[in-house]
Amino acid sequence: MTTATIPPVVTPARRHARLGRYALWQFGDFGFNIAIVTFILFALLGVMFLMQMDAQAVYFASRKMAMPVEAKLQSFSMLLSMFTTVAPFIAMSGVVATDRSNGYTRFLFAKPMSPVRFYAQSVLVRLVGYLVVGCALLLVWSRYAPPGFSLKFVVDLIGAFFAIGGVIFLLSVLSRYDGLVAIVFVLVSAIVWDKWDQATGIRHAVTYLLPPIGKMSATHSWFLGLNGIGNLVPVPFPTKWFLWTSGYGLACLVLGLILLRRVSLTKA
Amino acid sequence: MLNSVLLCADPSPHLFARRPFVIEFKAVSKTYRSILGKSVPAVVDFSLDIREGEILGLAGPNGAGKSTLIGLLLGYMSPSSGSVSIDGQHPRAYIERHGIGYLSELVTIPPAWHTENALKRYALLAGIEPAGVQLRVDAAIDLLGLDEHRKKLIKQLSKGNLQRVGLAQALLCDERILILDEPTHGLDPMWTQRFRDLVLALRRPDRVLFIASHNLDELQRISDRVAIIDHGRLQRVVDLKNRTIGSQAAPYRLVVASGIEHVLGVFPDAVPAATNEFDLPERSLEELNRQLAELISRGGLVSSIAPVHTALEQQFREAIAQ
Repeated sequence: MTTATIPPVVTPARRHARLGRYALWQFGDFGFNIAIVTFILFALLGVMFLMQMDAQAVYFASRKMAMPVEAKLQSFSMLLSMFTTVAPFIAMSGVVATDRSNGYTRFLFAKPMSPVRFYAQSVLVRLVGYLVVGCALLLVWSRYAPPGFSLKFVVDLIGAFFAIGGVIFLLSVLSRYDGLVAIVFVLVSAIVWDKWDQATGIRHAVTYLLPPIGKMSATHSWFLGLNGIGNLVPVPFPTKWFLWTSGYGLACLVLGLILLRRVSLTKA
Repeated sequence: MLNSVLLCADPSPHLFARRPFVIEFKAVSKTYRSILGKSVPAVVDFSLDIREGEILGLAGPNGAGKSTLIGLLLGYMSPSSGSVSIDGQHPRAYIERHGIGYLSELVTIPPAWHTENALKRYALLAGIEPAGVQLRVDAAIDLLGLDEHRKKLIKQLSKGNLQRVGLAQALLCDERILILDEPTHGLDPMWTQRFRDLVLALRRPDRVLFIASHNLDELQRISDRVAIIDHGRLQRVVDLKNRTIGSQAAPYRLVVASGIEHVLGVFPDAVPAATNEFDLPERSLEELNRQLAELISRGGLVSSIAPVHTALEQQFREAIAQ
């Protein structure tokens, strides 16, 4: 401390946080804390899938046949299902709850900004980061096996992000155990849809309360051009299931943002 | 040039509308309810106004409701009844438009952040223009003596240094309202003294400083008024700026240089405390002066006479005893 004085200045009537510039720091945080882990995890899984495909290729070669593209795409489809379920979990888990339970919100929201804008930007940053990681992984994969990159892949990833990430965001606003509760919620949803999708009466009605997470595979099929029995054919865009799963998550996200105005900012 | 760099935003000709009170608590109550329905009143019917240019201290024992009160003032939680306003607005509305300087009791900054980068982040969020961030951060680092720690991770800082980083982020922008919760918590005596100098330098006619502390001596030195709360209720407000020494009874510590043999004759209830020192139980100023005159007339030489407790301590004890 050289001097104990603060230069006198005129206090402006109004200011606002430089959230746009702050996004660069948020991207940095995402890169170090989430993107690297996600990339390594799925790169390793990708290597395992490629090794498995190599083993299958040897089998086909022994029969003097080339491995069919459908088989390669089905293998990728499994990896894609894992990525679109797990990566949004990693990206969004603790988005609000971590700040609140660790007390980081105390300094943040003494600054001239609304928590709604701050966390909406945080979600956007995570979405972009998740897409960059997903696309980077696909570009690496496509050097060894199909599919190649297409905009359909981006649409598929965005739908999955909102379907899973939106639910996690709402839970993160409500509870510090958002990740754990989200896992239970997604599992229960998957089980209920699997058991009661074809049921009638109250059981079928219950399915409407939960997101049809399992139906995200319909968007994967559209992207890969694989039908239900694994044939390579043009698959129409699954508008109903895409809107349902993504819309459900998006509604949760909006509800979470609204609730941010009503819940305590310092306790989770 | 320096001032223009230190501005948090473009200078505006529109200054705040003058109001008699900047911060107003009106019959505020806050009750925490558990999932099982158990309710705990943290703040009860609390009313207080804070004027422009004032340094208001908030004192109270542990669990008195100080942190809840600050949480309500920051709009981090809503009151169960009553209202809190800053410049006539809901706290969140005010803070989201203008920001405030806030130092929490526990300095909570992500441990993996570097000190300088943490301040840069907070500077951007405080609304400082990107071009001026580095200069303002450097000024805050210099002011709080953090230069040797600027590249350290937050988790590598000692408690006192972390407290100074917390204070630095609160002072990054030239805030009109500063809320400091236990600001000298963890500071060594040298920095505690410097903090007092800093607070006195921060005094400005349009600024409000709200300081919660357990340290009554500190509050006595820097505050204009001190609100004492206990069990969530405002017990009393001690006006230190305009206080008059009343005739309220208080205990004193008497030190004599000579004439020790006369002390017990004049003060029969005096209790020897140390060599040449006596504790005098509560008495009025009138009685004390009469007895001192008697002691001096008998040949006693008084070195010092002082209240055992400062004026604020005395008020605090009385308020809490009630």
